Amino acid sequence: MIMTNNCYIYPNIITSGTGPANQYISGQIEKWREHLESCFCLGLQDIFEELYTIAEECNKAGWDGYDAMPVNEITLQNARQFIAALPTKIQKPTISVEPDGCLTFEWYHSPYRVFSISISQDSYLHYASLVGNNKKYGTVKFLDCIPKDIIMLITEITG
Amino acid sequence: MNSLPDVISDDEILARFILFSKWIRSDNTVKPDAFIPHPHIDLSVTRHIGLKENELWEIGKDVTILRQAKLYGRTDIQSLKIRKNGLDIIPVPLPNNKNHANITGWVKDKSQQKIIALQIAAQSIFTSKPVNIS
Repeated sequence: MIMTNNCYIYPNIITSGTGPANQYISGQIEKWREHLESCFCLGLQDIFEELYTIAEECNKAGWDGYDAMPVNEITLQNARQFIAALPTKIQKPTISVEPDGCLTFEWYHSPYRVFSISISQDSYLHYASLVGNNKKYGTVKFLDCIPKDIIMLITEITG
Repeated sequence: MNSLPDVISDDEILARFILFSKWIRSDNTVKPDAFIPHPHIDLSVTRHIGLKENELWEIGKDVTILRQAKLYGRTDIQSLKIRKNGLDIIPVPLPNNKNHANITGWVKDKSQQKIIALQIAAQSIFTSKPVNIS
């Protein structure tokens, strides 16, 4: 995984040579990549299932017992893309929903060491981090990759 | 029931009933999501003052009947801790809940709401619904 334009993305690794050493390296890289992806996909399957279950539970107005808005298909799709864009090394978050219909992901260590991020149907990421007395919060547009600053805030919680 | 003070003092305890299971963490703390004030600009709470424990739970039970939802518990927070986050609490008695109040003064910006909700959640204390309350 590499970082570019302050985002994390998966690289397409290409070697330029054709000799035995290059072929060996290419083969090893490909094996490693496949292994990494299969591990991550297995992990993703669980979290996607949880995401769908929660979205289904909250797909009608008033799901919180008050007057919450439903989670819609676009928000669910955005949330799925967000999860898929997380670096593999990041621990899985817990999932929830806010009364405005945003899906939320939380990385939690303790009440004073916690990061929460919401994704809306208009593809905005609203986040807040509390580490002791240090507070960080903001809003960014989600464009298929997760800003480096957000990844750093998550790793502050997960270590 | 005696009338309640019109002004909510800093030491009053307020309860937020939790009607969604995903707002409770595995360590019995509450997620900030429970304190996001939407679609209303205020957040409903119930004042403890003048209520016995069972009467407080009865109000929670009434909420679930009214809302056709399941009660999981309540999270309590002191008024002062709400006010320290730049918010206020005003009494808004309802026909079926004279102790009802609203947490007011929320900013519109969602990320600011989240950081305030995180701090409130961190200072609140969750109590599971007693087994004798259906």
